[in-house]
Order: sequence, then structure tokens, then C-alpha cells
Amino acid sequence: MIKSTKSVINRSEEIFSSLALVLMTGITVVQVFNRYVLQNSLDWSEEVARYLFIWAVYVGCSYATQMNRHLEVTVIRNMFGGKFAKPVTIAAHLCTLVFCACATFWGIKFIQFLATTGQKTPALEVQMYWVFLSVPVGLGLMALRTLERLWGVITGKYDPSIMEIN
Amino acid sequence: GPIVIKLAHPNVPQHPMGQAFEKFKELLEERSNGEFRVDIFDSSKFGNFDSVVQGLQFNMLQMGSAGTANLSPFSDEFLIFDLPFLFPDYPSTDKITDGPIGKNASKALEKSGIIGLGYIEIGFRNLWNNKKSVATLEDAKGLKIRSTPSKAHIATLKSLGMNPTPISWGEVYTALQQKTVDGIDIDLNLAWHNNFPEVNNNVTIVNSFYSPHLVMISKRFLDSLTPKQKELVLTTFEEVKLYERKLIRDGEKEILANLKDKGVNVTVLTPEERARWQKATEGVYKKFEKRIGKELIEQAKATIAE
Amino acid sequence: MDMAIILTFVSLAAFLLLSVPIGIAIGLSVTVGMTFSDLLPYEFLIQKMVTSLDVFPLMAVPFFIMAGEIMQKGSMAQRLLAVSRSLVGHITGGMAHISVLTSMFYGALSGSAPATVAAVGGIMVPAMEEEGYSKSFSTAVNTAAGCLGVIIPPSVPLIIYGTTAGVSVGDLFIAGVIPGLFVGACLMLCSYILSKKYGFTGSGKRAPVSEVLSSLKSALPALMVPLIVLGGIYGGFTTPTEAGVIAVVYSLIMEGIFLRTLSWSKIADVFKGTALTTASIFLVVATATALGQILLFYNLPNQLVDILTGISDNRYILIPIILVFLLVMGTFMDALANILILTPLLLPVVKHLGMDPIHFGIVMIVTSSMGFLTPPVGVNLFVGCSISNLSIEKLSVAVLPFLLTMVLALLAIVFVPSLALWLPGL
Ligand code: NA
Ligand code: NA
Repeated sequence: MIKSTKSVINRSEEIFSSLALVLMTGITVVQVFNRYVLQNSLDWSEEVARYLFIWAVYVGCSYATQMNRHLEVTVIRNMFGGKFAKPVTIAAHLCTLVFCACATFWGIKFIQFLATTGQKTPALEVQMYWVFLSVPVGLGLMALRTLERLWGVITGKYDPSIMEIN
Repeated sequence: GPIVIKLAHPNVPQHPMGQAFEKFKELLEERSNGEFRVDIFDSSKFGNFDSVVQGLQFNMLQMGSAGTANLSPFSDEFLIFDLPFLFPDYPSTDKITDGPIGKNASKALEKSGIIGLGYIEIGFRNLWNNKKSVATLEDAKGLKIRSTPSKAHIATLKSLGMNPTPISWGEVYTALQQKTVDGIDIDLNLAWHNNFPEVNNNVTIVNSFYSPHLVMISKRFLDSLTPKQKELVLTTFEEVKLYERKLIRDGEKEILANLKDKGVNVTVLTPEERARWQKATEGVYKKFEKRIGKELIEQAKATIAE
Repeated sequence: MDMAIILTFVSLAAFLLLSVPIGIAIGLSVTVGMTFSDLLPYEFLIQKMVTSLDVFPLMAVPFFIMAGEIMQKGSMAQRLLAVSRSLVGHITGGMAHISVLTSMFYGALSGSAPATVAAVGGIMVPAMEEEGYSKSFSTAVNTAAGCLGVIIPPSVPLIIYGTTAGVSVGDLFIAGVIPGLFVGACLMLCSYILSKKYGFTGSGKRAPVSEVLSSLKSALPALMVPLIVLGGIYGGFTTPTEAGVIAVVYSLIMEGIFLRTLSWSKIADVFKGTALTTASIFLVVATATALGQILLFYNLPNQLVDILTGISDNRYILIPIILVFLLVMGTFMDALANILILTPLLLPVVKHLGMDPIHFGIVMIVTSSMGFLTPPVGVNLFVGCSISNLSIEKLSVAVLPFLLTMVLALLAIVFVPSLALWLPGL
């Protein structure tokens, strides 16, 4: 079962962000049911749904890198019959890598700061940094996925000139 | 260049709070001979409550105003303002906000890098609805009322027999207009400045909750000022604080006088009836007694009774 | 102008041209600006990236994306297609007209333009492609028609404008009805002309009544969706976000249990697809909100308004200048940020020129809805791209004729105030 373990790791962002969305939907369904059928509003549901949404977005960013589904302006990459596709894509990946690394670093610093102030979320009263953790985790993973793609472009595994673009 | 104070608040510029901060800008810039410049970010342009608090802590923002209901994660003492029917009138609210209870609560913020300057206000909450004229507890029964996410607010509306429905502020007007809810529990000034009289034609003057706002300043910023500059900021704020409260209270009188022209049916609870409503919400006190502290509640009641 | 602002925009252009993901490019340019301005610590960006998404009404977008994915993976798109074919398949550009009409109908229940693109476009784009319409044209007409989501009430930006400008939101909603229908009609005219040019003729012969009826019957579960959502919102039962989640549940039950068109693996694909689309859209929304905030701190909007009023005092010179300014701001700024920042600054100017604040609100909403159609920050474009896998520049070009049509419609709305003010004046 080594193969399946590996595929779970390889699909971790996909599984996490999809599940977060499923949970977010489920909780909102419960909220609507409580409000309109049981006539009894929940005070935690909206907050949980919002935080799941934020986590789904940032972990989903890494998944979107893996699947090459980010929104990009691909004018130059596709010009001249894709002659500059490889160097442009490498440069773009390096820029993305820089930002993801910075955001991960600042994100961790911000979380440390939040831990010292002890700020809590209003309804659930859990530490606020659990919400902000989504940025360094999601963009940290995105940095790894970008590295993976960068390596693929350099070694020729992915051909950026024929890559399906968004 | 001048020392820039970025100041954030959640209300529209025409609201008394917006007018008061405009006055603060005018006075501080004039009195400091341009040493200070105040940039106001109204209508939550700086972001939500978390943005404001974190902004102050990081000195991204120098001043900000927030409702005390949001501040309870910092200190349970702020929950005293979440208790229904605690205050009979405005003089009694001033005793608490300007007195030791209000000052103690705001001190709790200091360890997280924020100094509380003092309290301005939103006003007393009243019951608006589009169904019927509400004069008694029985009339209010079953009304679906938009509430804030505050646990005490929800518990209060429930114990009054209503069905509280938390809806985020941005969706409130549409929810009222499309009758997702029957009404809202809100003060006169905010109701007026957000055009609620267009969509709710009944208001009952209940004076259930008093909603203060704490004006906060970044500790990093305040520490960076000379004693003279600090003094100027503090005294100017003190003056503006009183000005804001006057605008709110005068505004309420004026709005009450104008509501009839807008086709709004105004009902005032009789003192006997208000006492019944107060009695119905005693359970809310029990529920929050442990967190707020029985002593603090007693102290507040004694201060008000003085 | 501040050096930091210039660097922010120059670097943004450079990163975008390098094909850096748009959200990352904006984040990088904000970082560059912050490095050269010393205005804020870098942590501000992290803070904005979280708080800008911490907004419940935004969740209507993933819900409508999800519902669209379900109906697309299931059979509803095909069922609707059968109805469309039987009803207007014979008219030139019939499917494009269906797209615009559905968006108008859907606009009456959604307050958001990208959610309208996701909901209507998610169904119509694949259906149009199947009918032989080009991918770029199909996506463009749906992307443009999504603007009706915010012009036709209810509309989140209109509510924000109303509270910012201190005018009646009720009047604004009433004022938005005719301009919304008007813009919709203009978009249909544009689709007709384009379809004629490209030869999207349709079948040419009208379907028999029996076929219309049978397709209607088979599409009833799909036709119920707008009814449930519309009924929920206009009946006052639900907010748009809740209506979105109801649409998800309804379509899941319909497709999964009653029609049995969804396998477990298809359901998994729905969630994966939603996760990808949601992430790619909201990374941009998050950093773009931070950019809007930073520009506000640089005092850029104020500086630009000073320049504006320095030019002229004549309304026929200044109003077109303001329109161009709004359109330019709309290219790289979020619509809500634009409305919040610019309304207090521009309102005194337009009042001075004798323009009614309600009228200006409608103008502002139509203009900022066009911002949804222009790169680099055009949310409708992003949704459109994710639906069709079309590149952003290809879609931007394909949407140009519709954008031009909307500019003409906007000019009519600006210079014929009664389009907006007649209904609320009754
Ligand atoms: Na709409
Ligand atoms: Na744009």
C-alpha cells in the first residue's frame, strides 16, 4: 500500500481544500435549516463557515498551482510561437516562489504576534492565529508546488509553450 | 511633514460619530498649527474590527473606534455593556463609562498594545419592525428580529419571546426590505442614517441596550509623542467625546420629531411595561453573571443608583 | 505623485507580463510599494489577505460556483439546452440571447456580478459550445451579461453606495431597474450583430410545440432552480448566500437522487473543481483588496480628484473625464473598494455639476461593473476564464465589443437622467 500512501500525500491539498468546502457548505446548510425550519439561529455556524472558506482558499492556492489553474496574463509567454515560453515561465515561477516564501515568513511572524496578544475569535473564542495560519500553510505548500513545477519546466517534463493556459 | 494620525471608524460621515471625528481633525490640526494631520477612514474603509485592532497594535493605524461588544474577547468587563435594561437614561451611562468601571475595562487592552482614550456612543437600542405597533411584551412575541452576533443580544431577544436572527451588517437593509426579518433592534441615529424608516414603519422606544464605542489609540504611537503633543491629543479627544455624545442625544430628539413625517408609527413603552421587559430578561444576567462577575454587576447597579 | 505608487504600478505591470499568477503579481507589487514607502509593516499584507476574505456575503460566490458545477456535471445543462434549442434555436444568436436574458433574470436575485457569471455562464458556456458557438464568443457574452447581476437590483454595490453617499437605498434599487433592462437590451443587440457576423445562425426552423413542451417538462428540475433562489430572496426567506447554499443542496438532491446523473466520482470532481476555481479567484480578491487599501493610504484618490477639478468646471467636459477616470480606476481596483473610496470624493464634484446623487449612484454602479470586464483586475473575466479555460487576454479581447456597447449604454444613462430617475420619481 506504499503507492496509496504516496498518492494521499500528493493529493493532500486537493483533499483538504475540497473537504473544507464540503464542510463549509454543510455547516451553512445546517445554519439555514436551523434558522428557517427550527426558527433557532446558531451563533457559531457563520464564523466556522467563514474560516473554513479562508482555509479552503489558501490551501486551494497550492492545489491550483499543482493543477496549473491560477489566473495568469500569458501574452508574452505565448508570443513568437512560444519561443520565450521557457525563460518567461521560469522567471514567473521564481517570482511566485519569492512571494510565497515571503508571505510564509511574514505569516509566521504575524501568528507569533497574535499569540502574544491572545486575540480570540468572537463566537468560537478560539485563538485568532488558527485563522491566520491558513496563509503560511497554504502559501508555504504553494511554494513547494511551485518548486516542483519549476523543476519540471527546467528538466523539460512540462513544456510551458504548450501548457494549457487559463 | 506633519505627524499623521490615521483614524478608523465604522460609520458614515453624516452620522454623529463621523461628524465628531471630523471635528477632532479640525481642532487637532488647528491647535497644533499643522504639526498633526488626521486622515479619517470612515464606513469601515480601513477594514473590519480585526483589521482595526491589529492595525492599532502594529501602529498601521493610530486611532480607531469600536463597539464594546467586539471587545469582550480582550476582557469580560466589557460584557457589562451587553446587559439589557441596565441603564435607565444617559446620565447613568456617563457614570459608568467615565467612571472606574469603564476605565478598568479599557485598561485591559494595554497589555496588547492599545490604549483606550474614552467612550463615545451609538445610543440606546429600540425595536423596529414592519409588522405591527408594539406596546407590550405580548405584541413583541414571535417577531423575527435581526440581532448582532453577540451572545447576550441573542439571549435577550429570546427571553423577550422574539426570534433573533444574526445577519451581517452589509445584508441588513436588503433583509429588512425583502422581509427576511420582521425588524431590527437598533438605535435611532443608525436607523435614520441607514434609511431603515423606509422599510420599517413601526418603532417602539425600549431603550434596551446602551451601545458605547471605545476610542482607542496605538500604544506605540502614543509613546512616540512628546508630552506636550500627547497632552494636546488627549485634551482634544476629551472635548470631542462630549461633543459626540451631545450630537447623538440631540440627534435622537430631532429624529423622533421627524419620524412621523416619514410615516413611522412611534410607540413609547410605559415605565410599567418597560419594567416587565426588564424582568423578562433577568435570566440573561444569570447567564453572564459568572463571566462578568456578580460583584461588578452589583457595583454597576450601585453606581447607577447613586 | 509618490515614488512608491509609481513603483507599485510599474512592478505590477512587469509581474503581470511575466505571467506571474495575478494574485501573486498584485501581492508582489504591493510588497515593492511597501518597501519604498516605509508606510506599513509587511505583516499588513498578511492581515489584509485574511480579513478581506472574512466576509460572509462573499461565500455566495463558491456556492453558486458549486451549484453551477453540479448542474454542469449532471444533466441540467443539457436539459436547459434542449429548452433553449426548442424555443429560440432558430433565431440568429439565439443562445446568446438566452444567456443575456437568463443573466437579467438571475441578476434579479443575485447582488454580485461574478456570482452571476458563475451561475449562468457555468451552464450556458458549455451549452453554447455544444451548439457550435465559439468558445471566446460564448464566454464573452456570459462574462459581460454577468454585469447585470449588479445593475439589476438587489445589488451589493448599490447598498454600499447608498450608505456611503447617504441616499435612499430603496430609491437606488428602483432607479436601477430601467438601466439594468436597458443595458441587457443593448447587450442582446450587440450579440445579434456579432452572431450575424460570425455566422452563428441557429437551426433556422422553429421547433414544433410538442417538442417545446416535452423539453420544458424534462427541464423542469433545472427551471425550478432560479424559481427557488428567486422566490427565496424576493419572498424574503433567504439572503443571497443562503440562497446559494440552497441551490447547491437542491441541485445535489435533484441530480444525485432523483435524476441519478451524478456518480460519487463526479461529486468529488464537483468539489475539486469548486476548490480550484474558488482559490484562483479569491487569491486575486485578497491581494487586490490590499492594493486598494494601500492606494488609499498613499492618498492617491485625493490627488487624482484635485487634478480633476483643476481641469474644468463645464459638466460636458468634466463628466466624461470623471467617467474615464472611473473606468481607469475600475481596471485595477476592486469595485467595492472603488465605490467606498471614490464616492465621498467625487460626490461633491458631481453635485456641483448639478447631478443627482441617485443618478450618480447608477452611473457609478454601471461603470464599476465594466471594471469587472477589464484586466488586470476583472473578477468577471476570472470567473469566465475558469469556466471555459480560455486565457485572460483572449477573453479580454472577445469581451471588447460588449464593453464598447456598455460604454454607449453608459453614455445614454449619463446624459438621459430620466432613464434612472423616472421610476423613483413616480
Ligand atoms: Na442583482
Ligand atoms: Na478591471
